[in-house]
Amino acid sequence: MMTNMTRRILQVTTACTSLMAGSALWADERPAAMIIAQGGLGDGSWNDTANAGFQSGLEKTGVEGRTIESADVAAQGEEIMRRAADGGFGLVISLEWIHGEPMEMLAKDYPDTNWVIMNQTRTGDNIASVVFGEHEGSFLAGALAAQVTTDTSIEGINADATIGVIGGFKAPGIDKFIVGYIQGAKAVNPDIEVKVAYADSFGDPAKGLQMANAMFDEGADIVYQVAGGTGIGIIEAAKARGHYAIGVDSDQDGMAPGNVLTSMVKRVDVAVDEIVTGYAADNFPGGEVIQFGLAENGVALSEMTHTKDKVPAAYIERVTAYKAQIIAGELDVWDVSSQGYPDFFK
Amino acid sequence: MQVEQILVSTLILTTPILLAAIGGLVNRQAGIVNIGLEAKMLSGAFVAVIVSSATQSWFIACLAAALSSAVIGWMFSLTITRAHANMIVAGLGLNILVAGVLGFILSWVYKTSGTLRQPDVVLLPDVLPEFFEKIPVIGPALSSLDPLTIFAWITVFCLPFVLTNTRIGLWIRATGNAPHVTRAVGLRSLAIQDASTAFAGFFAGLAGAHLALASLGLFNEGLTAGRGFIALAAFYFGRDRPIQTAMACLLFGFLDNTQIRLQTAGFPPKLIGMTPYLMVLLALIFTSVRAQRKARL
Amino acid sequence: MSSSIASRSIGILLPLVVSLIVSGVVLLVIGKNPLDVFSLIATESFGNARRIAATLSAATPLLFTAVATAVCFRSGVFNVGVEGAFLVGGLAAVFLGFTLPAAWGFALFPICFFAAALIGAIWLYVPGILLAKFEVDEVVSTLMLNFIAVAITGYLVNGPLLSPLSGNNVTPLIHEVAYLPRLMPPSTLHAGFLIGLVCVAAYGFWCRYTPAGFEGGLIGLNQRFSRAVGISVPRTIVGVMILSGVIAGIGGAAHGMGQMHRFSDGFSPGYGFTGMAVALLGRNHPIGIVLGAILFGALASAGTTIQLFSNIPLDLVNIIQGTVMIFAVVELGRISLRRKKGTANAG
Repeated sequence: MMTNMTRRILQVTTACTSLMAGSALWADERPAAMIIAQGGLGDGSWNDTANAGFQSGLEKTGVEGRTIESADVAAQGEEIMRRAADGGFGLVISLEWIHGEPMEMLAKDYPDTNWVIMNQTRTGDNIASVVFGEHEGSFLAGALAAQVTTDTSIEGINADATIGVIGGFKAPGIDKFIVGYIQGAKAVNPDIEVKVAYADSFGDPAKGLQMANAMFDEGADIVYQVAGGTGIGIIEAAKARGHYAIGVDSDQDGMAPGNVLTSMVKRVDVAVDEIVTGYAADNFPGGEVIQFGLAENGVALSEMTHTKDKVPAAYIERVTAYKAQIIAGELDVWDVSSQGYPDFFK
Repeated sequence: MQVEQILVSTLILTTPILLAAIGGLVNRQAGIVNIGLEAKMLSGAFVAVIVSSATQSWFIACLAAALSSAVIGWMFSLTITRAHANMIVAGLGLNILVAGVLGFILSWVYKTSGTLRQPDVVLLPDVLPEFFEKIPVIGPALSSLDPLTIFAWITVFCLPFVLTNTRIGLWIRATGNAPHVTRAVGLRSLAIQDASTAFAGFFAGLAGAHLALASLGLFNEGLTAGRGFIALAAFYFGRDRPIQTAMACLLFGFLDNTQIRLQTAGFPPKLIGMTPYLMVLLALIFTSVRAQRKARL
Repeated sequence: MSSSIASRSIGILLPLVVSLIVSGVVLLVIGKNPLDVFSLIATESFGNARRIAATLSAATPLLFTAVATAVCFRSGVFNVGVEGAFLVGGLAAVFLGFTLPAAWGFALFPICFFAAALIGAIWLYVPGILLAKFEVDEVVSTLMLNFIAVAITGYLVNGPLLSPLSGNNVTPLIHEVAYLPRLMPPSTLHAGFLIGLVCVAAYGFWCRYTPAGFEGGLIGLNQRFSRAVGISVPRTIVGVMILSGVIAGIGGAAHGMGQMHRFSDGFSPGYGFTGMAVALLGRNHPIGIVLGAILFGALASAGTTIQLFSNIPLDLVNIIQGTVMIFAVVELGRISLRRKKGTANAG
């Protein structure tokens, strides 16, 4: 049983060792751990993208790293993080939102471990909080979709001013995307109809396919997917029906070339990669809130390599103009996670 | 336009559940409640995608899926009939085990996670020629018919006859309803039960093949998403009778469809999603109350 | 069910051995040494006090769900709805935990637990009375109720009970004064574990020394005989369902107030179903339940943390768990290869 005394000695020894290590100007070689969010790897978006960044960061720096999945990631979070810290890991990243509160507490117990949390801000000199501007990126997606949806000269587009969005679960984190999308669409066309539905799953592509088809039947010709693995089905539906989907989190344009209008890329891979690199170089952004919004290129619309020729340049220019406005602070995009729900959405 | 599309999507949504439910009801008639349908659907989908890509034939793919799931079903059945495993827990365990095995294969053999795409997966073909689509109202539904859907419905209509009028049907029902009689007559009731579970596996495998090959063309770990349990609800709702079960499946397919459209009209998604389950519960109560009243007379 | 010690121990060891063999084969196929992996799992589960605490912490919810299930299984009532009762009970407790004034201090504990027990009892009373009075199949009714529970709690968490300014579906945290105390800080093992042990002990006492418990077991063995000796089968059925709901609800409350301190999506990753496996593995016997809960708790906890120290994916843990579940309910002493033995039936 670890008595207080033993723990204190251990902490002091660790502190001394890291002091010596620091003073010897050695980069932190302790391994890194990344805890995968509910839903696990294979979602084709959040977890997978973050993991891609994690792996590339590890490769570049030579730091050893492990990903941890769990069927009970919500309840086990504290145990896992503590185990990692006890087990000598120098960098602990969690992709699971619920871990924010226990992490804040743990960071105080383990001042020599570097902690990273996503989509929220936590206080602590050894915690880095990464906040994304998915609402801003989604605004741009909505603005583009609203312009395209009535242009019948583009193949697969009908005359109705109707677009759709399918979320994985009804949750503020997802509604952040949806509300931004609606706001962007309405900025272009205040009378546009945006159909909203939730698949209740981040891993049911068959359902995604059906839901997208239902929206296409109701007149939508562009459907934005914010549903992880379920979205794979949404993109397939667009391909089969000759309409359009908008991808999310990673560049999904290639999943159905020509039928994915664009993707709202969320560079969690870049974020994680930069953090791992910074950690390895003894440059961990502890205590900082790292913004990954439009201005920092943390979110963006994809290059649209397969659809650029289909879409009139004027539309893309208008989207770029909106982007500039948002970055300059002239346009405020509603952020569900910090402002709650707006009047125009339920 | 709307009505036609609703017909098409209801048909497509119904088929996998219907196939699984057919297998499940026969299994239950023989006395086994098959909770492990999910596992066999999932493995069927997996096999279907791989074989379809390898052999470029949807038929062989479906057959392979059905047979592999039948084998799994048969082995699973042995633990119940010979080793007296509790069928509910064994079924749940099977679901977890198969999900784990498939996940494992995906990451170690195919070096991918969650989704498996294979080159040139052959999808299920449309059975009827193109001009059928022009028929009003039911046209698009007819033209989207695929072989598995047709097979499912043919089975639905043949099954009542087989169950009531053939010897095999009699054996199955006797094994489930009057095990002592079956034994007294000298029938090998355990073998019959195993065969019925293999049958359930066969159809569950086809259900999985349909999920993968009807329109998606890929395998994903979450492909079944609880459909095995909806199939279970369907054959309970239908009191193990093929036609009633098929109606239940259609109802669920239709509800699922409406649920999707109701969502865009603003109803809370989570509450609508529970409609099929609520319906089963209410139907169960209703039919049981009625049966009791009749028995009292 | 043979009661000899030999067959009981085989009943518990067999699933372990089989699952170890199966996973061992899988490991060999991918080129890993099974012995290394198993010893890693063993040390991660029980290696030192902290690890043991983590294992017990993961086992805590299972104590409740296993007892709740055993209470019914023992009576031949095939209640698979403990999962749902756990959820609604947990939500009720958490709701009161952040809604009632924090000033009420320690009074919050009994109130929240009572509310959870009440809601759980009502939740399982419904299928109970349906079974008792109208012979509605309890497997399906409780199974459906599980899905309904997930839907209702999910809706509430995302709607009226949603914590403002959060990224996920979570309720606000309960007041700190309502946190169940930790037994071995800093580990997450909390007083709920002790409550769970008390429940198991009470269950054992109830089975052996109370008329109600005795009647419960009797109708499980032979309904006709029970009726003949004057036991009201319907009343007993409803009674065990209510009891099951109470325990499941308390389990949810313990989890919500001791481990999670709020309600969220993923509140229960199938504790109800794992509890079922524990009850069966333990043959509905209190000691068996405790051992089974520790085993599954170890798998859950160690299965996650070994990923920090090896490349073993979570899928392997699922394989082990699935195999254990299947073979846990096999009765080796009664394997029948000949036709004489008869057919399988539910229960």
